[in-house]
Amino acid sequence: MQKKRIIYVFAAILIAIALVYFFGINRSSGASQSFMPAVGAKAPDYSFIYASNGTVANVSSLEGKPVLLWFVATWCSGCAVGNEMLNNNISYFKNKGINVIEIELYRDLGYSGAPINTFVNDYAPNVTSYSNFRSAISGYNLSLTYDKDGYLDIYYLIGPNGKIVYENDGSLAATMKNLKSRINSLSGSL
Amino acid sequence: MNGYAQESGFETYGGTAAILKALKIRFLIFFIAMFVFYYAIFSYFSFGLVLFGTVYYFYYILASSLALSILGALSIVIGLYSQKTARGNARGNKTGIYAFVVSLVPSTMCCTPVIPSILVAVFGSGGIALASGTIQGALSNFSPVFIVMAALLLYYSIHVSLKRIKKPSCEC
Repeated sequence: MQKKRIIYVFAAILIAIALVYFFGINRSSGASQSFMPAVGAKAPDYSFIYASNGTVANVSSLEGKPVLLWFVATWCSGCAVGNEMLNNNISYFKNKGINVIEIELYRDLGYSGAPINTFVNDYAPNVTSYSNFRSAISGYNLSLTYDKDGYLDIYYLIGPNGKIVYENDGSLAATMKNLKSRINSLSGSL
Repeated sequence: MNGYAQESGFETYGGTAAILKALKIRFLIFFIAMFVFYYAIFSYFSFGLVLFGTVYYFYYILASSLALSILGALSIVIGLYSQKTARGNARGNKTGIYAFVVSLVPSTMCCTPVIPSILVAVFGSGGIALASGTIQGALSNFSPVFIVMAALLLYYSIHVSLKRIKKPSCEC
């Protein structure tokens, strides 16, 4: 019986570690998933609403400058950490000429959290003073097309020509290093 | 241990203290291992950050890790001791496993692809998958309930093991 108990405990610990690895650490590898529009393809053109003034805009309206589209839910701890990370790196994006749009997924994926403006102010208070940052709320089709599997904390880097140049379904906080490395390697073409 | 203590159920404290005195090294090893494990998991997932804010969530992680690792180590040490000293079924053991699972549900199931992947596997992409926040958000908001539930299950596990030690022939 004692051996059986020890086996149970170790099995439970191994399962927990495997879960953390496969769904946490492994996500940060930089590999994108098939549910995301492909890198190299034209970014699908759907609408969102800027949180600051309620203006409706389309993805195509962002063409002309590289843009980071980051999809979040405002009850998500990982997204809050991503905001803290963005807070520390917003000047990097500014210097690279990259606009950042933090988009609340459609209806916060079905669970109401704080308004996106409050969420940003709580965890990334510096970013709102940067002209290259805006927060927004996703329309249904935008969420459905860019995140049809309902993952949290995924992002796309879209080039000035409107084509997706990089994407990641890992959290922004965990993959910031990968993203910056990719941006640095693309510097000439962005 | 006096008669009152034995009759009233307070014998658990005396029994726990006596066992701990005998097995303190083993307890410490389990406690440290579990504390490191819980603290690492909770920190990695920023457990409770949105619920408690940037300052207080650290205390939440610390308190949860401490409570669960103390109770978990007690449960294991006393459970093992009860196996040596008494015969009985494995209900206490199973309760400890349930507690372990319950304690990890909110931190590992919220804000990870686990729930969306299950929903997509069952219902397909879009539609219900885009409402995965209904489950994940609730897990995030009610995470303290899961921690308290896990602590109560561990307490029950300890209680059952102590009863088994006290009454070797009981089917508890």
